[in-house]
Amino acid sequence: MTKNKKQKIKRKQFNLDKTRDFFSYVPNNSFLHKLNPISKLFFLILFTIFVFSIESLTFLSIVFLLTFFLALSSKMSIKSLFYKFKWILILSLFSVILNIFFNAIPNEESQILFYLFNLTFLPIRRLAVYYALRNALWILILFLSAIIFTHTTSMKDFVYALMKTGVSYKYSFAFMVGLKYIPLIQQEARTIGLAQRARGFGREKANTVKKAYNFIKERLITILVSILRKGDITSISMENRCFGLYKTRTNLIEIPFKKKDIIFILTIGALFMYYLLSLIHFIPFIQFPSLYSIFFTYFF
Amino acid sequence: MYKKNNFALEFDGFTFIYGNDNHVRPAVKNISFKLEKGKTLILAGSSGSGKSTICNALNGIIPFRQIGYMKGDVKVFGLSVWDQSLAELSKKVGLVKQNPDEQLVTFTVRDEISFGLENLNLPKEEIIERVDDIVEFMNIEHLIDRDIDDLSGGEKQIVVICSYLVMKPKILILDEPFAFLDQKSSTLLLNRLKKLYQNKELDLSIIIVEHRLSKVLDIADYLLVLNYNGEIALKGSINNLFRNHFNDLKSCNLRIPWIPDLFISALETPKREIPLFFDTAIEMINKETNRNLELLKNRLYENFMNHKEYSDGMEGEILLELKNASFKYPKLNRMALNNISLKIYKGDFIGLVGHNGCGKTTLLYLLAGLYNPSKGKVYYKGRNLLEIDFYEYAEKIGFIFQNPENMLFKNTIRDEILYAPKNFNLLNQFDEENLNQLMRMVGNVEYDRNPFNLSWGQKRRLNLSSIFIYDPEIILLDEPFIGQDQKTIDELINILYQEQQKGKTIIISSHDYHLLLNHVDKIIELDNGNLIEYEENYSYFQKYQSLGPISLLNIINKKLGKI
Repeated sequence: MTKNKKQKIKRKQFNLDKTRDFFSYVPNNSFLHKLNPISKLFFLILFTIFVFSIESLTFLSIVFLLTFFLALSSKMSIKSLFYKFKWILILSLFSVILNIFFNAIPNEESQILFYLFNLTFLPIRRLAVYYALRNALWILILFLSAIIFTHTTSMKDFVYALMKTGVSYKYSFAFMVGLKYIPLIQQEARTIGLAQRARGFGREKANTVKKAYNFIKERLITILVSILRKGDITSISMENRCFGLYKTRTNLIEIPFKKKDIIFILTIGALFMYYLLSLIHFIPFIQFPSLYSIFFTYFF
Repeated sequence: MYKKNNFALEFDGFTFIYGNDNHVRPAVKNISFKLEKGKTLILAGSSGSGKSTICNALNGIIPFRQIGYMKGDVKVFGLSVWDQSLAELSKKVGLVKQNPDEQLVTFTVRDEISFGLENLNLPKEEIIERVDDIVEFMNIEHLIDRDIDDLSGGEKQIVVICSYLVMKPKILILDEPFAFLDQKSSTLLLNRLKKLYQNKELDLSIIIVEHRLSKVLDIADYLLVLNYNGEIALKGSINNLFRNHFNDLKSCNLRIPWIPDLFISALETPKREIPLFFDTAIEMINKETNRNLELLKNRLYENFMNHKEYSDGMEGEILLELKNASFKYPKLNRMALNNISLKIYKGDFIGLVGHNGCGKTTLLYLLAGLYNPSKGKVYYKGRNLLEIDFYEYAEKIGFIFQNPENMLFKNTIRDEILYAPKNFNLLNQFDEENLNQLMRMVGNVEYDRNPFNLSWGQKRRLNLSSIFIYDPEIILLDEPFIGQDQKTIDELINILYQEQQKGKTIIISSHDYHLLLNHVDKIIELDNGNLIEYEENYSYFQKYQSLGPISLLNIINKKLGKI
């Protein structure tokens, strides 16, 4: 019986696409869904700069919570959010551990909080803990905002909106064809993987670098040839329909720039300007006591 | 004054050599023909005979994009291609390729159809009007607001054709448009093409590249056949060629329409009227004498029913068995295969049919052990497949994939054939003679050539060689005939037939019913993941398909019975 079980594990399901789409568009009717993709992109860029300029842990936590509420307001279910968050949480925990051990300046003896397991070669330093938490929060916030953006923006609309901003339509279409090709290439790679396995590939494990290189080369060349053949036909097909003939192009689909968008962009822009000016102490800004100062000075 | 030109295109001594070296064999040689406006031409020939070169010469890829040597002239509407730009040519000529998935660039049908007009920078109102017109003309109102991904293969191909038609081309080239389509989709597309052919207002000249002549015979006026050297083997109007040059046509390595072939080969009386289509054939049968009917009947059996007849107790050992097997892909909501139970006996030659996406490939993967069933079990000689080591079982299976290039991994033909034995550790067990024989099967080529440089048919034969080397017990083929010419298909079937005689079990999935009717013993039909029928060949086709030869046989039998 045990022998059978062992053999069963050998024949596990191979090469099936089990990854869930982290960045997939889900149509809905929320405020963010209705905004023009360009205004959302504008917000995302400013937001990224803003987040990276924050030093205070308290403030970062508040921003994280706000982003979380933004995600809920764009009709994302908590369940799917947590599913998507699982891996990034593990990643940020990993980053916390790495940062704590490697991101500290070893000479600053005074800042050692305690020794891990009472071992003198494992000091936990104050600044390192701060960096670790800050970096983890950065990762979480940016990942969350990227999820919100892709959750509320259809890539098709994004491409068409991009064309309106003056980006050449050739680039936008290159992006669009690329998007269409991703599932095609995945499918092809899976088939080729199966074709290799059907003829005994993988029986011998790649235990030297050269072998591993050969294994990768075999599959990559076959996949590449297949993609190039497809790409050739696609480009001929586009050119045959006069793609690239003129500098401009009529676009039947228009992603309207509504009043909502103008108000949104102006508000975001104004808030950002205010924040920038406050950074150089031109205008007063609410001063958040840093978590570092409340927490660590208090307890240690 | 300028003389009015009645020809849509004229080829005059057109010769083309690919690449920088003008000493290699030309792809096409000395091609001269003319096509009148509004007529339809079938362009046929084996793969590698230069059909695509002629298509490319019309839409400006040659000479503007392709490097090579060109001789002679190609005129489109009286103007040489040299005097026109690529853009001008692409406005006049539309080229539809085999695989619709590779030609669609946008996400919805409306976008796709208006794609060309948008590129032409036309005003919005005009685009909308022209798109609406073409949608009405091709009867695809129900498709217009759908996503491209939701369409079937045939619908996709129709959308591609519409996206060219909307640009009002004068010439439309269809390069094997049926290759990737299943039976249902082909009928749909053929229907629309018929409409296009009958409409004389558009003044559209159509060129259809196709080697299965019977499919497109009634929507064409002329036929042009290229031989293997890229020269014209035959040209002329269809009626003339079939009446007077039938034997020449037959030697051209094409799939000859079965009705004229049947009548000519069965009734050897010269100067008789030959029916081209089914209805004329029935008319003729009604007038025929009994003796001739018997002859026709015998010939029908000989041409179409070469499979072995089953009697009770003939079935041997059960080789493979599926018990309530189901399969579900993680990302899809529906089952790819639903509760399938069937037995496959040793030595069977089985055809697998069904629409695209009905689970044929998945069933083959399950039988090959490449996927494990989500529910249910697969048994090989009574042993559960899950309990057999993957590679131990893989040695018993030869799997041929749809695209020959997906199975090429090595730099030379020899290495390619030895790929599997190397992996299976069988290198010391086979003899050199066997290897040489298999390499000869690929064709008359040097054995250190890169497999990717072979012709399409040679690649397919190389695939077969590379699985025969380890002598698998079961051979599974997933749509092996797509894009292959008639000669290769005949060779493949022959090779498979020989393997069956040696006791191999073969399962083949295909849309080509005529081929299946002729050669396989049993048919499995799937629909939406469900097993619809698992039946012996003849009784299956009697019951389910209104296939030409079977219907004709029934008519003849009825008539013979009456008298």
